[in-house]
Amino acid sequence: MRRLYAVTATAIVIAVGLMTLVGLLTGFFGGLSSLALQIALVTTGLTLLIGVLNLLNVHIRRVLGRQRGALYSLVLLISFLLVIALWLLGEDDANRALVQDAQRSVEAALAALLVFALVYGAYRLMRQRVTWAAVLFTAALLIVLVGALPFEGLGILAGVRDWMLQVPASAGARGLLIGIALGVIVTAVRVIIGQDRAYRE
Amino acid sequence: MDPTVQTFSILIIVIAFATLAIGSQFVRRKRAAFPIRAISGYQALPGQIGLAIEKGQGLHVSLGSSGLGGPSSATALAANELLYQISLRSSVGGTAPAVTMSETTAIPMAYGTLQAALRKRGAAPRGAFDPAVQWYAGGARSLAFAGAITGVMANERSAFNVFAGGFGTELALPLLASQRARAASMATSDQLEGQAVAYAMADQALLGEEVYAAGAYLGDSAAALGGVIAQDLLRGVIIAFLILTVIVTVGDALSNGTISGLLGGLLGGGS
Repeated sequence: MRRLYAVTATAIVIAVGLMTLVGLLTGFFGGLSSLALQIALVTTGLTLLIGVLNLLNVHIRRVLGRQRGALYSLVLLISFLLVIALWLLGEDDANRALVQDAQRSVEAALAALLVFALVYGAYRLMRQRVTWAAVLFTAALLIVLVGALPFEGLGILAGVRDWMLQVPASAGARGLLIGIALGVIVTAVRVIIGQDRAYRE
Repeated sequence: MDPTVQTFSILIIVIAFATLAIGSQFVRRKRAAFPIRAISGYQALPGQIGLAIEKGQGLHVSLGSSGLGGPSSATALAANELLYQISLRSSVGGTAPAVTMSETTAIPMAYGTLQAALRKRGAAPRGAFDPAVQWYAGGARSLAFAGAITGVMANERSAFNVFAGGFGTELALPLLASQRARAASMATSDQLEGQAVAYAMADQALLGEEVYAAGAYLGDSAAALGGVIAQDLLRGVIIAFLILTVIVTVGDALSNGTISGLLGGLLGGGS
């Protein structure tokens, strides 16, 4: 029975995938491919419910089982219920205040921490692996940071910084993006022709 | 769609189709004839999983913001393959990795993958992996998600953290937490910022297309190896196009457009 399900699912995926691909590239099957995309969008929307159920399942279990981090899970559950209750009561101002005063403040604090994490990361890279790549990375980082300082005597460094950002950094970024794009194309084609592992299980 | 872009898109997709279909058949017959370059991240992965099992600590795989049904679908599938290979190995020790994601479409995918891996190893009891899959809302810049997974890493006492999927600079936060907990880490992203942070901060980083080759490096599937061959061939085609463009541009500058005129004539577009 499982085999039958797998074959049916594979046939549907291949048919819809090919139809959508041909539709996007040539304009044929326009109606059918947009219908497939709409079904995908509706399904994606429904998975939000799965997300909420998963969140509650994980944290209720943790609180009831008094597992590690149960206190944080309790705070999460209370916050969840509070937001739902405020929404049901029509307390939009209180809900907005919760988002603006609590969530945004915490996210701003995390964003500030990010700078220190990145600087520490660069420092750790040199401390652990002194390779040519690490030296080049650190030198480039220093030139870019120092070149951004608004001092008149650093005009040459600012020029070097601009060149580095426009030529080597841009070329490297494009190389990585081309690699990612090729990986995406090959993965997508593997799915469309039924070579993905998921079809075999 | 612009006709040139359309032509190139069709060309690349046709090459990918043909190489995958033919390449995987060749690989099935003569696997040793297609050696693949070593990637340190994949070489280190089985050892790190073994170490975590020996220590009696957990594993954590984060799929970030990649999910099905959007531009990150292929990345989600690639990260899912990595999750499958990790789960397959960790199930030897009777454990499933904790999986986190900020995209809800990745939840059923992760459940299915853990189920498939455990089933292949002899079926763990149903529900054994239930709390292992954890979704947290991403927020505008995923900072809330990054903060949440540092908590998951601490709760699960994970000895090996893998971040594969959609991550930006916020990846620095969980990687820093991993370092502070003296846990090993492997990271990759489909975003440039995330790749830069992964390179600088993770113990092992998978760059560019490397994450899309997890099945070929960690599994035994001929189809996955065929995918790597297709990637290499497409890369060769793109490099050839780039070199040709440089030659034509430089040649034109030196000869007042003779080369492009010659090429135009050869391709049937000349005067």
